[in-house]
Amino acid sequence: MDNTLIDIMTYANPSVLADVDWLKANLGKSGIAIIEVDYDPKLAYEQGHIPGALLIDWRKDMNKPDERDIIGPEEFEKLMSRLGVSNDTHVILYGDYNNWFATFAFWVFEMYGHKKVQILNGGRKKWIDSGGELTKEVPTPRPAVYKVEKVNYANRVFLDELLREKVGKADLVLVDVRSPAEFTGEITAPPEYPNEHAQRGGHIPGAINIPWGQAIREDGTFKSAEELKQLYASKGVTPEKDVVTYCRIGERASVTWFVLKHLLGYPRVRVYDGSWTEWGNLVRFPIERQR
Amino acid sequence: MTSADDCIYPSDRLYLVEQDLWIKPLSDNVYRVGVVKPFLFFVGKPHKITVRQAGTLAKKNTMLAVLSNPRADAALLAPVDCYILETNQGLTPELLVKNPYEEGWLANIRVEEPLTKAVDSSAAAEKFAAINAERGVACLETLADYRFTVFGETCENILTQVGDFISRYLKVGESLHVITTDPATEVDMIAYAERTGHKLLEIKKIGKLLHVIYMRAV
Repeated sequence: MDNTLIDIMTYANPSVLADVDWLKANLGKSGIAIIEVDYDPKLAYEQGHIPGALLIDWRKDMNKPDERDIIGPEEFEKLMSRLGVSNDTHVILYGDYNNWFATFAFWVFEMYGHKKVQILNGGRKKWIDSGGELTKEVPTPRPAVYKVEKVNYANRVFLDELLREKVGKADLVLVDVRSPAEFTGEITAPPEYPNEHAQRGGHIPGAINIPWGQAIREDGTFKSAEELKQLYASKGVTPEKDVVTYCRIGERASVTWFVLKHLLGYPRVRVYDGSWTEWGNLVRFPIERQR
Repeated sequence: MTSADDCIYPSDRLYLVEQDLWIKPLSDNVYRVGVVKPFLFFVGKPHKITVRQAGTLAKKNTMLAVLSNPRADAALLAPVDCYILETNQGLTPELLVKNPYEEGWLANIRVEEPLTKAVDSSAAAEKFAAINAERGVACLETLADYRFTVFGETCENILTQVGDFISRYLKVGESLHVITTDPATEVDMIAYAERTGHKLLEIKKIGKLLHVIYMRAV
């Protein structure tokens, strides 16, 4: 057994992760849908994906076209139906950009109450690096019936709630998971997404900076529970706090949310998916640059 | 062979279009393989190249090599089952970018079945032209450090965004590939370099798009 498997067992909720070796041994098994979630499918899924994997094109499939918001329950039902996923399907998500968008999708799957959904630990990178098979063949699933029973917003925080709570609650901690250069306002977006800027660079007053990547090893898998506990506790992000994570558009924030909520079992962790592209563009809102 | 998008495909070898690879026969069933130039413009400047280890078997459709940078881990796949006989020991991202057809080769392989889909350079040029158009790729002299696609309502707006990009991200000596369209004209783009002191390395109109490469000089 390699280290990754030992680590998985020490997490608060080990069932949220799928292991690359396990998946290699279980390819083609019925009842499992492997879905690649990409920001840039041309460079990723279309260049070769896990055999049998379906595609969620994050920009087109996870977001509403005419409103800045993630898809609603009805659109989610349609997406699942098109992908041949029913309420009982075991879904395994992985993707490009170190699983950022796959983890964002996981957060949406949980919001719409999907029962069994996992993240492939290490994502596309680990699969490729470990010599996993790839194909350019695109499967054509049979449409399935999917019903969202209940929408659960417990893991999401909107701007108005954030403002209300931030004023009144002492135990709220805001974790900015972007790079230090974004946190200090030197840049407003990574160069890979230059068209998605905010008017001002900086961070939400009072936020602390723990870049998302500090939770990840060189090979793309998550660090051990022990290392993660140490990382967040040393910065004052402890389980009794009410934690809100944010980044630029919410994708990296969902990685830190996943770590705190599921790998460490913190009871109250939410993603502020409006993130910096909302806050950094608001008129008459304070920002901070140094810290 | 040079295609309409200015990509070069040397005629002394064969091409596997679906895999973005060139192959050069060395002996029976043994080939030298490398990546075609437009693929580098598709992925962007690689920061790291991983080639499957010599002495191992690459099953069909598994990775021969991966080009990595902050945008992607782009896999190059084996066309058929093949053994990796030797890899290019001195290969660096710089060498690959400098000449992917010669010193930037990836590996020598022995194939387990014939490469029936290999085509010559003129057929390759035609097929890649369609793929490059779909990927929005054109070949230039320089593979820049960064790429920025920008469309504005006014030329001034485009140039403001280009200026922001250069001052935000580029260090002196680094280059930026700007892909834009009307209303920015070649004259405007040249005047911009003169005005700002940045060096204009290349300017080329391919299809409807204008490609410009600037190097930050100040």
